[in-house]
Amino acid sequence: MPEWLRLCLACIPLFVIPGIVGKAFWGCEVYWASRWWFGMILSGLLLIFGHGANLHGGVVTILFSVFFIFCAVKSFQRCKAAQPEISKDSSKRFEPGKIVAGILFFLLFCSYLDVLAHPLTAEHWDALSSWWNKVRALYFWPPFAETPCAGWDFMNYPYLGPMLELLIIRCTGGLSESFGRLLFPTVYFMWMMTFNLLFPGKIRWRTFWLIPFIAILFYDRRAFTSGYQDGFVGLICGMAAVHFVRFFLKENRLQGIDGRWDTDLFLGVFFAGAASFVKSEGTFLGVILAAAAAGVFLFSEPAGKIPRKILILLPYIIFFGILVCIWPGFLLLNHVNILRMQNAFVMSDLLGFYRNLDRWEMIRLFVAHSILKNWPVLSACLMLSLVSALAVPKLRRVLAFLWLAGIGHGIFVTFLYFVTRLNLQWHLVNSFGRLMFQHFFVYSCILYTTGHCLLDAWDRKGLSVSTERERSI
Amino acid sequence: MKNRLLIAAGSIVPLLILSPLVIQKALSFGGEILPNFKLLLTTNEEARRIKACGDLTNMGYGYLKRITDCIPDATIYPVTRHRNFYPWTHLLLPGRRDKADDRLLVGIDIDEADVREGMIVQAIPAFRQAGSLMSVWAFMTDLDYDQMTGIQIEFETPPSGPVTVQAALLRSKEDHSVLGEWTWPAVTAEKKIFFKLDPPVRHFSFGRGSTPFLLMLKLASDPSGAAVPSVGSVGIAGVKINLEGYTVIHTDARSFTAMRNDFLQQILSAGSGPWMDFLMKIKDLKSTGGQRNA
Repeated sequence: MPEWLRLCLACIPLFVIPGIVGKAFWGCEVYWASRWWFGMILSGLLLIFGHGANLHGGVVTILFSVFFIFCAVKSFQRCKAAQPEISKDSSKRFEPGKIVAGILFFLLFCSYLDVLAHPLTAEHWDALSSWWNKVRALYFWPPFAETPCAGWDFMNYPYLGPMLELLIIRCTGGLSESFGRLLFPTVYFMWMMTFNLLFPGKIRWRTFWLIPFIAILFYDRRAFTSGYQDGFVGLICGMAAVHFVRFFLKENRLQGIDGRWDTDLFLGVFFAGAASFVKSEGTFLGVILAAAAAGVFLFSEPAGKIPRKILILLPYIIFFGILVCIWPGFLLLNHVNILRMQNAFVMSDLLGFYRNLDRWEMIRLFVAHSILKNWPVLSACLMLSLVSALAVPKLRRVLAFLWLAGIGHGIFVTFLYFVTRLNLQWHLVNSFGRLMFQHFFVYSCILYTTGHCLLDAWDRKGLSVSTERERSI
Repeated sequence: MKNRLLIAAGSIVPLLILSPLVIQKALSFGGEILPNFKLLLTTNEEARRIKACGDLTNMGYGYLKRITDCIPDATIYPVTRHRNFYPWTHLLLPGRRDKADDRLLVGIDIDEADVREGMIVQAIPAFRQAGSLMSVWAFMTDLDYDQMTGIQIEFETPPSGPVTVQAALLRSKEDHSVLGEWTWPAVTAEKKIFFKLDPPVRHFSFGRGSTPFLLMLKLASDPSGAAVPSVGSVGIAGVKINLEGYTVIHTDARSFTAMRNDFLQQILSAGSGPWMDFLMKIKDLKSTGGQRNA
């Protein structure tokens, strides 16, 4: 089959399936890129559930097809009910939001060319031995307990990324790793697109360039085209962060929240919990993110009684707990040791960190290198945060949440090297930068929210995200 | 006014810091678009894979694929050894080949030195005390080695009389399982001594990443009571690819395919069958002499 045809077929799992699944669950109250993300992740999770429950591949295909048809009908009904009017005014048709989407889709197409032109090589040894190995095995749908684990015996590594790659590969007609990797740039640019939902309403000309600017700034070829999952972990947590930020930006966020689920909190918790299906480290990043959001919610204004706020959060905490426990549940069901995280660690090692405090001498070199390497971004974020905290007080809780999450994850990653069983220097050289990159989304969110709000404040139009504006998306 | 100044300064400075980065990334991203497009128009996926992963060098994808295409069993792939650490080339092969079969051995870009005994690495002292007869040495192999065949010990000063040397090889600092124990009684007093391991440590070092082995050495003087000097350095000898028990059935530049002797005998005595066809196909497989590497 010619490659251009396979690329066209790849659009079905990359855009059509997630789009339709997302639309079936959420209406216009959720931004389209968010719905797409939800559809993509839910599709992957359902396939993992099928595999984890040891269902036959054929049965899973039938069940997934039935589910997809149900979603298609449901989303068709939604579309029919909310048919948008097509404006005849050309100035409205070429609004900045559409130009942003156009630029991002162009960049996405270019990254597709990059992925297809450059196959995986030995340079991406972990992506090949761990992740492509899983995709390749899942293609033949082995029993859950026989999923390969490369040269390392950490069977318990989750595989949302490989499962979604499998979905793409299945639709493109052959076992080709290049087509599977199209997933990663797609999720990156679709995540960038969701920045539009942070400040709903018409995107103004003055700020529309911010999203492409940040998209290019944080585009990392290794992270988003090679099949490594660290970028994907960062992106799924980035989705959670975007929804948490949106929740904190709402002025009326506590009104009427008692009796019903808040969409942004729900989606934030969903994406943070789903990170545990991408990588073991994703669980920790998800927990850090959710804890940072909960902490800011409990202790920031508007002041309220903490017990009441805890009661509000309780259903979300339970939902998050359920999501995080599903993967270990599948492992237990299939008699896999859940306490062995990978070759480098077992759970009990985490408590023995104090025995290795002398490792700081070497670890600090890598911490310093990481800070210096990212100094332009870090300093810009710091500066913008300080100015925004002074000029736009309503942004303080958003900044508190983002910085808490970023610093919390930075400390967690550093902590891992106090308990690793591998050769410390080798482990640091091979993974420190990659793991630190997982929280890159914090900086992207800071740059966008602060940049947007400062430009907004310059215009003296205020920051409020009114319900009226919300309705307009 | 103050507020506006603050906002202006707070926005422009970060923008100035980040703009060069964005321009640099945009140029690098943009510079790749046309070459990628051209590459996609002029080559197919297989050609790109061979170019990226190598034919007779690098990961040796091209050579391994040519050999496996001839194998009659579609579920197996040959044990593959590389000059460097690339044990996953088989993952790129089409189809479901998920069983490594040691009846066939493929070597990619292998030197003569890789199939002969040689010094692998110098160990570094993990524990050594002046006056102590006991010392512990750590060493990392980095690459895969079939056999550890010897230990070379150099004393700081030549011993005045024969010494007895005891050695034990432990898997790692964390895993103290013993891979081998040796005693060499009354060794002639020389400054540098090579101890041959008989039998060698087989399946010695595979996929260890950077985990160091530990070698414990204990020295003792003969009953005359002559002083034993400290160990100054320790070298480890081994064989990267042990071709003992294999017959090379095909070579192409510095890559080869070998078959286990007992299996080869079995095929030859059967006279015909799919594996005999395999041998015929392999025989007909033309050597490129490294032309594909260009």
